[in-house]
Amino acid sequence: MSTRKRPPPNPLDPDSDSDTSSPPTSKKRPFQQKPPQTTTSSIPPPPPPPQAAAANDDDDEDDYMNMTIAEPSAPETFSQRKKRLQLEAETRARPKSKAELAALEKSNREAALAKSLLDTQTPNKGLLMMRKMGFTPGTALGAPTTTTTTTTAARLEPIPVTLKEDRTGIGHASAQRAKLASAASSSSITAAAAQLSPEDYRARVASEQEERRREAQMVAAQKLAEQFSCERSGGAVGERTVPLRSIPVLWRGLVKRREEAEREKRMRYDLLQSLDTPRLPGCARDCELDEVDKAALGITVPGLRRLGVGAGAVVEEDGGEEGEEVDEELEREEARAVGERVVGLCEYLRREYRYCFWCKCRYEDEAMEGCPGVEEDLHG
Amino acid sequence: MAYEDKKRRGNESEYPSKRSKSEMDPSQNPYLAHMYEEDTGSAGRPGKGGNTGSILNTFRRHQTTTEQANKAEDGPLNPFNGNPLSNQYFKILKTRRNLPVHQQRDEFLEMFHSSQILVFVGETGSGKTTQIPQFVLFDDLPHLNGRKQVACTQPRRVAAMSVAKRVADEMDVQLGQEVGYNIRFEDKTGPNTILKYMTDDRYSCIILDEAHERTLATDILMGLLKDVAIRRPDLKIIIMSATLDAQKFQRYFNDAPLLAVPGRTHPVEIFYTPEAERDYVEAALRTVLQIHATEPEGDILLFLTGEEEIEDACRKISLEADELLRETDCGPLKVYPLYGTLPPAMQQKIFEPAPPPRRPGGAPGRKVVVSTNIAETSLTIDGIVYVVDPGFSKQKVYNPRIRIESLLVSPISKASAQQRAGRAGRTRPGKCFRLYTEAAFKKELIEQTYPEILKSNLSNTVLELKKLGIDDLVHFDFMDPPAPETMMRALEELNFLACLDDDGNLTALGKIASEFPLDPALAVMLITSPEFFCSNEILSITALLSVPQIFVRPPQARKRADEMKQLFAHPDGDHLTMLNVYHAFKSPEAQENPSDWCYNHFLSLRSLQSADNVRSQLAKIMERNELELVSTPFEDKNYYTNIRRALVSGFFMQVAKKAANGKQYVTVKDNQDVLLHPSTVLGQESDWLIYNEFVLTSKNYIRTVTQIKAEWLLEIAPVYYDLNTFQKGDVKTALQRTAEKMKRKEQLAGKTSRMGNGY
Repeated sequence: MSTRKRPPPNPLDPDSDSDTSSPPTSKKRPFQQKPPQTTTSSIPPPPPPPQAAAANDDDDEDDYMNMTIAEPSAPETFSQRKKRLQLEAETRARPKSKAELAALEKSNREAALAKSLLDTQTPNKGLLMMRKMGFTPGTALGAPTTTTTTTTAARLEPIPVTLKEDRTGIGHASAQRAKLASAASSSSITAAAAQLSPEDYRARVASEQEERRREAQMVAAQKLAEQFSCERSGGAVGERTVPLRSIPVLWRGLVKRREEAEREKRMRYDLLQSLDTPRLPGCARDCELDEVDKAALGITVPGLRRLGVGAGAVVEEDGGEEGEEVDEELEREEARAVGERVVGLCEYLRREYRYCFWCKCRYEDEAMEGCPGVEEDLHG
Repeated sequence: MAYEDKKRRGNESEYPSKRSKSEMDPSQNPYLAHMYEEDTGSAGRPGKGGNTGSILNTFRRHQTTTEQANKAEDGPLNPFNGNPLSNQYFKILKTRRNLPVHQQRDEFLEMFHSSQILVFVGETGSGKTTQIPQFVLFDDLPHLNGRKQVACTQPRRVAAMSVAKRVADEMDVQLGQEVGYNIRFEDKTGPNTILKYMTDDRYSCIILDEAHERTLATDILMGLLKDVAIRRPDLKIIIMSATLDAQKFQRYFNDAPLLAVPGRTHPVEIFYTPEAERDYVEAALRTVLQIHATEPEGDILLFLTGEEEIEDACRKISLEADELLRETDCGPLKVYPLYGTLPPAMQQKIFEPAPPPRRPGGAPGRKVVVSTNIAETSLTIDGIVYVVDPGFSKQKVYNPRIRIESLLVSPISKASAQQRAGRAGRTRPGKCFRLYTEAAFKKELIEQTYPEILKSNLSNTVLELKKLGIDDLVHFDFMDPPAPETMMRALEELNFLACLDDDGNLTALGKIASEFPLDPALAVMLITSPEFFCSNEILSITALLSVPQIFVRPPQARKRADEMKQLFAHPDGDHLTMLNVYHAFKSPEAQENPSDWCYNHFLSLRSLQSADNVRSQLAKIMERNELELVSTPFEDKNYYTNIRRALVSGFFMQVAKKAANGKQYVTVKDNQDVLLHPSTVLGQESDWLIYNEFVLTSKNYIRTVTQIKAEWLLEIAPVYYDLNTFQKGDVKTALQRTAEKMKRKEQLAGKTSRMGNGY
């Protein structure tokens, strides 16, 4: 497409020179020029559709892929250059937003403020005059130090210009900095980040992404397992009828965390309620109120009791059977790698419900005919 | 003219030689012989026109005692002019003798006799400013020594005037006779003057008051005095300071002796906040209200940074206090703002007593003064018991790198914080609430406020020093030497203005420029204005630029004020708009009732009147230097063009060019992005502007602008606009294009003239 618009080769242009002198590359040019956006943007090409992938794996597409990757190192062609210049001109011509202008103004100012006048290449007449008076750059003004009258070191640089842009009090900024620094040093992110090479960084980001993906898969699988089990027992999801311990360990963590979050939410709600409730004059503390007063004042939240795990249950759980004791089984499960746990869940789903997590469907028969297998990779 | 007299004297006798000649023993110099006469003479000789019958004639100079002085002060005749002393005089004399400084008069005289330079420390209110000069008069007897005077320098004009008036009253003489003052643009002294209060930009003095304020002039003066003292052993110097940083002065003056007089202050308890504040204004308001609600009787002083912040705080405090009054049994609260630009009548209000309780026996009323740092040293408000100090003030800053001069909100110094706290203990023990932690006080605040010399453009100072014959500015004995780059900029600027040649010598133009009490750029503009046939107009503009803002814009009537300003607006910019205002102000119609006219047009009568005064003072200096006052006829189409071209002759270093797109401008050479200040009047799109100020608030602004043409820059200031010295960029390209255009025009003109000659 862009080849058609190309102007006739310019003999003065080095790019058009190379056009004629290097026939081997000219064969691939249409491909090189075709997607200019791939050179400028970092978006990777969309992955081929899964079905087609296996078939096309060999010839053309492979070539295509290689070429896009190799492209940045290839010399810029004339039309590419033209496009780039046009793009740059457009960026320049575009009216800047106020924020951009302000930022530019600031950085421009700060750069100029940071640059000493003594460093200029062009001879400054003021400096020349001072030289004649016996000034050497790098020294301060004032009476020769032999007289010992000037006790403090004389100034070498002008007083810095600092623009206060907020209304924070004295010491606020440094207090914030100290807080940040201590937080950073405790997790030692800064030190590690400082030494990280781009390759390491990329690798780390990739592995983190993979980790997150795995975790999301695990939670999805856990939710499925819970849903299936509820369906089988006839209960509704989220309303637990059995003790926590009797839930299969594979998704017990999910239930536990959900209940903890709920409890927290409820506690915060209670706290807010108690702050907002009107108080009796002269009565400072809620604990002095009896149940009737509380009910009258609306301090107790009516919804609390209705839930199976209401205020009473919270107390019970906090001090009783499950909260205090360590759930070793669950701990062991949660210590396993996420990948392993996903596999465990997949196997469980297959075994119990003939459901393949990857095919996203239930199979009629025990053999689960049609499903490639337990592993994700087998599902393409 | 007084200025000239003094200058001549200054040049010929007090600064008799350049520094390079100072190795010679001055007492051997025949030209200086008159200075050493007194050393051999015994008693004071009767001076010309002196009061021969006075008791002072029996005094031996520099050997007097307190007892003698007391006797002379007791009358019945005035020892200085022989008139009978009034009852008022004796009444004042009684209170004077109760001042702390009077207790140490003997000690003072002893030191004064034995040392040439003396450092004297007395807090505000010790009576040093009024009493010490009088002690000196009775001992130094300047009137009996022919030509001598005692001079006392003051950092501010208002102080010089009011103190002189007070001392004239104390001595029972008329202001302008024995006691007078001399400030920029006003000289109230006479032939009989023996004690002169002056702002410290004139260098012939011996008592340096308020030295701790470290104004630019104080610092230069100290450097000069230190040098002069070596050559004039008879010259006595007293440095008076209000803070205990006096050791620094002592060291600077080769370990001069120090005398300290205690002030009359009470202990002040200091409180810090446990944590740094997220918003110091809000914290300040909270603290004020808390004090009002919980602390016993006593007025509150809150320090904030500027007009807008103060007015806003006053409004909020009033609202909250009304609420408190309704809801609790708090007393009434009266809030007063205080800042430099507040009209004097409003400033006076802060001295009103606190409001009475709402009902007899109720909680006492209280007043709150919300002030800038004027209330830190210059003004004393009685009754203040609580001080709230957020720790900020607006401070001047100058940076030579981008030539910016601005007032910026900055943390105060420890010394400043102590001074603020001290304000709470004027009448009785007080409390100071610092809105920062003790750790922040120790770690984040600098010890002393930076002296002005480190925060100013020094071109004026350098010109002044050059005029006084100081050739080696690099090794001048500054108490706090400025940054080398600041000096460099000043020298460079003076060179571009042709006030200094390439070797740093004063040129003829520089000599005349130094006669004007103005910035060199303004002075040069004024001196060259006759060449542009508009010296009358440039004189008016210069005067208008030398006084506070002439336009008034009260917050409650902004729109109306802007409409009024539009009446005077000139499409070419602010300088010409101001000129329009001045011309209108001088019209018979306005002069009929200037105060009403100004009020109706949202103009400051005070500023316009002082501009008028400045104008006539400057006109006298112009006359003396044989500079003609001329005008282009108003009907001439070049009337305004000439004025704008004359402006370029002074302000060619303060030029901005419009940026390629948008509203922004770029300053020439420093390449800073700037915006037009919102107050600007500019009728049309203009590519090139001169500006009076480059200020930094939240953004870079240029203020007071007028549009010009690029051709004028190349034509009027070819050295500065040597295109080889320009960085590559938009400005250079535009100037190059202009230069080519001018060349073509010239060629064309040359051709046609040749053709004309041929025919």
